[in-house]
Amino acid sequence: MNDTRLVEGLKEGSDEAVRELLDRFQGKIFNTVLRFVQSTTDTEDVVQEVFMKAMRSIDSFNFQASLYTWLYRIAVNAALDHRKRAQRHKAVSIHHVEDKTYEIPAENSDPTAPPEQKELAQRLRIALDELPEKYRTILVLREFDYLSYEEISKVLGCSKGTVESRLFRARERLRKKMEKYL
Amino acid sequence: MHVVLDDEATERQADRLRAHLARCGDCSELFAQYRRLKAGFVARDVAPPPALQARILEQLRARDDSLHPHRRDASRGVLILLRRAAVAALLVGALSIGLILIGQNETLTASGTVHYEDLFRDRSITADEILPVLIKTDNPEDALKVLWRLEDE
Repeated sequence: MNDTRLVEGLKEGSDEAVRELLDRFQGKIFNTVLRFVQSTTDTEDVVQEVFMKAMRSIDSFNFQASLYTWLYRIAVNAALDHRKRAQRHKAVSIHHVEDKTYEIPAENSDPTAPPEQKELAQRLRIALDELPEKYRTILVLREFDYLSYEEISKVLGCSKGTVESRLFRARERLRKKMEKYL
Repeated sequence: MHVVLDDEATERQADRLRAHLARCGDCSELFAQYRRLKAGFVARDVAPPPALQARILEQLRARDDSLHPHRRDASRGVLILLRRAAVAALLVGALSIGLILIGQNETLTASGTVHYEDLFRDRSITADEILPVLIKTDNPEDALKVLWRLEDE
């Protein structure tokens, strides 16, 4: 089923189309959200929310972007909203130290990588998590999801120039944090 | 430097950077650090939990309004039809009861056999008689139109 027929099916409320949508995009969306949310349980909730939002607004989808780009944008926004909520909660919760909401899932690291590479990746993720949200976001989009500058600008709703300068600042901050391990 | 790292540079930009790095040790070291940093980003996709799809489908079905906006409209249409059918049934019921109460053997049928004009002209019908006539016909709307026209005349 191509995107056009899939969208038509979704607009008509076809169960088959919904299954096709999930079969095709659930995995990708799950991993995108996981990179922001970093807790599999919370990721499941956010992914559910993403598909609910998508179905609620499918009537307004008009192929200005591809179906995946549209879903991806919903997913990134939902993941960022979740992080904001979690951070507000973290700020007021005295239980946060025990509650490892931002646990880095072990299954997301490469088991075939040499130990030093694994350690670098682990430290990098910790450093990444300490960056201001806008820098963290842009690095995740670029380095984990391999989005081009053009695609990042569409997802974040900013210019390509902003993408370039923000990436430069984000990398520079990260490099300084990681300097002794590089 | 970053556009080269991200494969977003033009050939000319990449050439200029290479030429600069060849003669600048500091920038060369900085570029190497950025490359090592970039290599540290390793993304391996994780398979979503098998139950997730079922959960999403279940939630979507539970919120059928979100999933099937057109079905929602259709069901609204069915509701309207049902409501109209109920009103029609009430009217038919009321008409039937009216007929029984009046107890007249003579029934008026539409489909061309009843000439309301004759009916209303021949009998100098009074207001009290209008209702029974309307009750006895299966086309009260036409009867009323004729009655009103005659009254206007």
